[in-house]
Amino acid sequence: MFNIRLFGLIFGLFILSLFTLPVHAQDADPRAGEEYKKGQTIFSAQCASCHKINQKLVGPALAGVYDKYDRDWIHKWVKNSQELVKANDPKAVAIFTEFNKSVMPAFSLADADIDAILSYIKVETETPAAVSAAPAATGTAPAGGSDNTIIIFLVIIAVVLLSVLLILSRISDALRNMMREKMGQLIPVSIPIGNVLFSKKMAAFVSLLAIIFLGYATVDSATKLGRQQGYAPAQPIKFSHQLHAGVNKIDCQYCHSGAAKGKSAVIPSPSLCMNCHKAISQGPVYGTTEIAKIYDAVGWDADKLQYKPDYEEKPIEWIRIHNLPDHVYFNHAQHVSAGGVACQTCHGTVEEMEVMRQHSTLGMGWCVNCHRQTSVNFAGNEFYKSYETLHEDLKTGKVKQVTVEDIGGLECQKCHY
Amino acid sequence: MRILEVWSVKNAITKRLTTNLYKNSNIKSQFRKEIVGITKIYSNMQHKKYWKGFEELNDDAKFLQEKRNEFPEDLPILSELGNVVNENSATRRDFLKVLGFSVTAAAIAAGCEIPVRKVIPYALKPEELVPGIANYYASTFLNGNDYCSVLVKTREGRPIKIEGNSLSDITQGGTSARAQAAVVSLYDGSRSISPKKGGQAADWKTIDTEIAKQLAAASGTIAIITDTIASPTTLKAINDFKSRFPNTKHVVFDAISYNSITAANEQMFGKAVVPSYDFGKADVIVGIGADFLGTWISPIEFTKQYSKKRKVNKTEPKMSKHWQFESIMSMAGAKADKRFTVSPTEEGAVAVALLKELGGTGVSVTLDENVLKAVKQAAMELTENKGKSLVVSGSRDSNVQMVVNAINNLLGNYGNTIDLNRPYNLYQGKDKDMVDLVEEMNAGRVGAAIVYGANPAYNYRESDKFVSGFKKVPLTISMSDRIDETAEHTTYLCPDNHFLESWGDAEVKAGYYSLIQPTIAPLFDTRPAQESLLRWSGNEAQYYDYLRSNWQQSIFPKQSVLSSFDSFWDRALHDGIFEESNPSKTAVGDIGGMYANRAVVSGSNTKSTEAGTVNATSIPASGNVEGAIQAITQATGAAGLKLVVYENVLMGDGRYANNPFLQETPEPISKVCWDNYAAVSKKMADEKGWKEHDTVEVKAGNYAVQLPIIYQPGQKADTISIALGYGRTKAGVEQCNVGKNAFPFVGFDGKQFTYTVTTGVSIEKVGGRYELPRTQMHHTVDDTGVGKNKRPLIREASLMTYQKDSWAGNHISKKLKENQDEYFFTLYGKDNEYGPHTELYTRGLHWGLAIDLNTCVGCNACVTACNIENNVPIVGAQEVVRAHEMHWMRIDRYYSGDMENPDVTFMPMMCQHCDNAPCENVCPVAATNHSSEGINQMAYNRCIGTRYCANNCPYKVRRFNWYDYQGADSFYKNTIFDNDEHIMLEDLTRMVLNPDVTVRSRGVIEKCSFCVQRIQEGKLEAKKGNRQLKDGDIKTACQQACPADAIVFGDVNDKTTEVSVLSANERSYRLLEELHVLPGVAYLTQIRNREPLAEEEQSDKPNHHG
Repeated sequence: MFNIRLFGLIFGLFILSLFTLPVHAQDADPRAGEEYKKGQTIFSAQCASCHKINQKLVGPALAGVYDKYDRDWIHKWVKNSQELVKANDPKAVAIFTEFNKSVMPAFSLADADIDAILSYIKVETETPAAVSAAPAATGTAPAGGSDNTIIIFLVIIAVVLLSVLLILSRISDALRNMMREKMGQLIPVSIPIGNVLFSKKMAAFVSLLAIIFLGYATVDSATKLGRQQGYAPAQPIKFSHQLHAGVNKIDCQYCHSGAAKGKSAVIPSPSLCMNCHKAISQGPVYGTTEIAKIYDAVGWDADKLQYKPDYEEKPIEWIRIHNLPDHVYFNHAQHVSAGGVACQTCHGTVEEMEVMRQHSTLGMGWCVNCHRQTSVNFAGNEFYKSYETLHEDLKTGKVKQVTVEDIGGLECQKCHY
Repeated sequence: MRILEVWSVKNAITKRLTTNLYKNSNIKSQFRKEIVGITKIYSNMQHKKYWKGFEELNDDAKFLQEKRNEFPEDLPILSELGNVVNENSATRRDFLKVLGFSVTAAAIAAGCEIPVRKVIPYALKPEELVPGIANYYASTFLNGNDYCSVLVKTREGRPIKIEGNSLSDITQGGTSARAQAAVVSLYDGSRSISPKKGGQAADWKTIDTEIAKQLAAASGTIAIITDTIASPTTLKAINDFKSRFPNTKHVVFDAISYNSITAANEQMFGKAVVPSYDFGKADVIVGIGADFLGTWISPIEFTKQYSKKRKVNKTEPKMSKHWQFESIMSMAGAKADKRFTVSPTEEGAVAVALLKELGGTGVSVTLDENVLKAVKQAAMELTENKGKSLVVSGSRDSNVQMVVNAINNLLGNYGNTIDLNRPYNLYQGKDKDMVDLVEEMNAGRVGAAIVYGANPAYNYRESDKFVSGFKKVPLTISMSDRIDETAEHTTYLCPDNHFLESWGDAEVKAGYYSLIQPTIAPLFDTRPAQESLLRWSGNEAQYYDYLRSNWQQSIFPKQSVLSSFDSFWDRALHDGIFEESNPSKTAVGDIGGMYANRAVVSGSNTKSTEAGTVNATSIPASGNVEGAIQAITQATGAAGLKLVVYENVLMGDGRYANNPFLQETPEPISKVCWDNYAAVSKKMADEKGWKEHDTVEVKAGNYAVQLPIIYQPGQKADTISIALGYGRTKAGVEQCNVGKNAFPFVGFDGKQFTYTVTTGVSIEKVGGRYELPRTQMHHTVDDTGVGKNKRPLIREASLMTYQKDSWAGNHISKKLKENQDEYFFTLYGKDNEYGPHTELYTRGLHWGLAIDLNTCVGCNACVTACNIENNVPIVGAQEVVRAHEMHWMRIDRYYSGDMENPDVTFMPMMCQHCDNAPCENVCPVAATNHSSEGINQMAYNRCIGTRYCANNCPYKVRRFNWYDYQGADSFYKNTIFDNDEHIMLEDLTRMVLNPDVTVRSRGVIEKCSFCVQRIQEGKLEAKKGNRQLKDGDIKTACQQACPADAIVFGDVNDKTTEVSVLSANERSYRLLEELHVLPGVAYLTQIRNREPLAEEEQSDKPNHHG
């Protein structure tokens, strides 16, 4: 009885520990205020294309701007900077000439709006962005651990239950024997467990089990040979799909532009990254270190905001995650353009992956299953007009849907040639 | 075939038992009925006998056995390993060792981690490039006298395939084996990787300074020795060089020259040109020793034109009439309707006799009676077709060419089928210039020599004399891409770019311009030869700028369609061509469209315009035709052996020797690859008691070569012929220095080089059998029928019979189509066409091929194209000897009729994609099976190499990878080649591999896939464009390469496609169709424009049953 209680205690603690997430007490958050949020919204919508807080972009860095100039002047400048310049305001002219006479457009913002922006800038200046509210910062450890926890948990439960069973049966045996002894019955001679374990029958049974198990394991691991589901290697740049595709909602095909066109989905070249990263030189997690790697690849001078002349570009050597054997032909466009398959169907919820990993097995059984189940958009593409009899069958209701299999999607030379 | 039948019977029996289709029928009686059926269909049919070689003609016992077997030998691997096994016979311990090793190796292999693979995107991606999608660039294949307007297919910036450019009015989308294989020469590991001085690597700057200095100081002539330069801008660069160094002399040296034509035209019409010819307008063609379908002047263009006149159908049962008089069997001779053999010395006499028969000046000549009769008839037909005829001669005697000119002029062909105003810029060599130059060099009067595009140390007639003279020249420079025979003797090697790496242009016919654009950055430290010339003449310009400004100055003003040079240049670059006569080929708006080039590829071919009434008048001509006739008659009839050295479609003047794809392409007539040989007639060999492939010594003058002989049907009995272009010593890799050099046999008559030796020729046997790599007897379709009747593989009829009866020559097909039950001898279920698969096969797309035997000229462009498109391995000469060649496609060449002058039929043969395929149901692992689109699929990864399928294929089109020919295996050293130094194992050469096609490893079967990668690509393009497939969207590699448009591919379920229409034609038949294996390839009968032969009449009797 004692044992069971003890086990219960341990078990309970364990469960508790599993579900207890670290709770961090937070200080009064300067970013919680309405003013801040309003400022943030306006800033990112209207100012961010030319200004950053701590860095020059098209216009000056705005950190500390609220102290440098008085509020009225700032209001005027924002509403119509050129007026100040024309009026020969010394401060205005100084800024105008410093930034190559590029004109800051006039904004029709209310004073309150401008003040909100300024308070946003103030917060950002005073409490730097390292602990900013970017979602990646609260990201959990890479997902790999959770599977193991569940398995360990299950094993422990099984062990516990087995021990309980054993103990209970021993107890009931002992009780029954006591009863028999009391009633004067014979106590059955218990066969030593060793005799049972080492009997021929047992040996045969165990070897049979072993053969079945080993055979299964061999076949199973042979089919898995070369497969790497869950493969999530460290990449030369700690690129986060979660941030780009999840938080920022950049369309997959903005970067993987080949997916709709041809065989290869295409890993974007760093020159494509520069479309955004000319302006964004700092990330929420790693700051400038990772983005600097892109700059290094293409030769962007982050200070002068221009490409270095005569720079020899250094291509980035990504680790390839999705590998198919050489004798398999796979074409993205067939699936994305013609088939209308969502990227996530094969690649999983990439928008939630901090580190990219292989979601599917990419085994042939997996391909074939999908080809069996997926129905072809028969009416939606003129191409399928050639399949007259199938159209007829659809019309007459002889078939409910046409799957990929029905138009030859399981044939060898759809993928092997 | 026997095997097939046994298998088929077995299959059929199983099928019947399982499907219960024939529950009540007695199988035995069924089988008997089938035999009766076969006998019935063959009865009363006298067929011409067709044979591929003399073994077959004479029913050689060994050959018959081989014909029945799929593989000519039993497991050659075993015999090879035999020695090893006998020497150290394996013991039990060895066995255990090996076992232990392999188990460990497997364990390690299984336990090892998967290798980390990298994916490296461009740092700055070029805008027009999407990885995985091919880009096509219009360019021009110009190599000496070979010209082809092409589209270059590039993948990820690598050129991997060459295709014809259908916008060109000259080549009209046709290609040749040479053009197809040109992409391989880019990745030739023998190319020089940097400029060299005295054999040592040097840099351009030093070399330029030194050369400029020495050129300025050169005393005597500066000679620039080139082959024909058909590029206007290169000529301009040479002229600029000349004006900088006025003592320069530009000598054009064509190793294989037609100086006789230019000389004759100069004498008669005052124009030293090769005029343009139009075989597409000629209803009667007489060829006198001119192989215009193979090598003469512009063969791709001529094949295009010629084949248009050879397409016969019921509504228009007309075709041109082609007479050929020649001494050796040429490709043009093989296609001739009437062919006559004459001695090389009599070719002139034929021309004289023809002129006389046509009523021109002439004298009587002594010729064989049959030939004279033929000349008479040909003259009659020519007279009926004045202005719509063409007489051409390949003679190197300008007298003969003058007589031919006189004939054409008499027939009013000038201005109709011959155009002196649009001459070719090909064959510009003046032979005497070269001879003079060699004299000058030997006399020490040449101060500097620059060799560009020529290789006289190998292919000049007196190469020793050239070399000794060359050595006396103080400054020698070669622009060759490698250290070849000539470059070996030069101080400087300034390697030229490959044409796929350079800018350039061509004006191969006056007014027909084309551009060459680079499709890859230079692989090595090489430089365009033109740029080298510019540097040395003090011009620092890039050749691209120089070319562009030349086009702006001299070519842009020739049109008025576009007013800005930039748009003119862009369009010319996009089209690859600019033709004065038809300046607006594509709308300017087309340019920049993503698939603009693809649209061009799949565009239709321009149809020839039928000549209406022609104005057949003579043009003024001068020149002493009488004198020419006199000279000819004197030379005619010389007794004794004659030796002809000729160019074949593969090697040219030797410049293609280091191209393994061309080396392994069989010569169309003899089917020999990787070697040359002395061709003799069977008659001569019999008289002397020689056997085929015996080694002989051919001697003429001071030069002798030892070569194996082959019997060449159609060869004049007094003539020996040897192909030029072989026997190189510095071609590149050792394996490619094959054959013997025949250039020393070339003579010089004081004006022109001669390629016929008429006196002092001797030949004697010096050795026994030499194993020639020859594919003639490999993979012979077994035509053994029942009793004495052969199965009719080739079907043909004369045009006259065809005009009366559109089923002519093809009545078997008719009988089968009309009344299947009576001739029921199939072993497959045939309740309806596709047996149990009817529903599946008729539901969507179904691919088929139609091949017109009448238009195929056997040039092998398709074979080479197929090899490159499908990563078909090159196996090397020794493997070809063992019938291990891997070609998915072959052209079976059949002879029939008179042994000394046979009819020839070319039959392109590839997997027939049978809908009842015998190969499929014998595969124990289902590695080969049928797709719903009618493709006989081959899954390499599933194949375990039993070769049952190959054994059961009646067409013998399946190939087995006896070794790892392309380095595809995971384990190395699986190859036959010493040190793994095979050309296809080099990383550089492997760059040509098509990334969409699996590279097969050792131990698997492979075969034609109907270019499934192209089918899939075409379907995807249609799906992406939300449209149905159009006829012609998908073209197989062989179809695209064909200069004769003999191959048509498409969907046969759509009855409107060209392939469906052709397959339904009365001329269409399936090979071995009586087996009911339902081949997907339809052949169209051969039609010969001549009176029917006696046996044809007999067999062609419409013999209706019912």
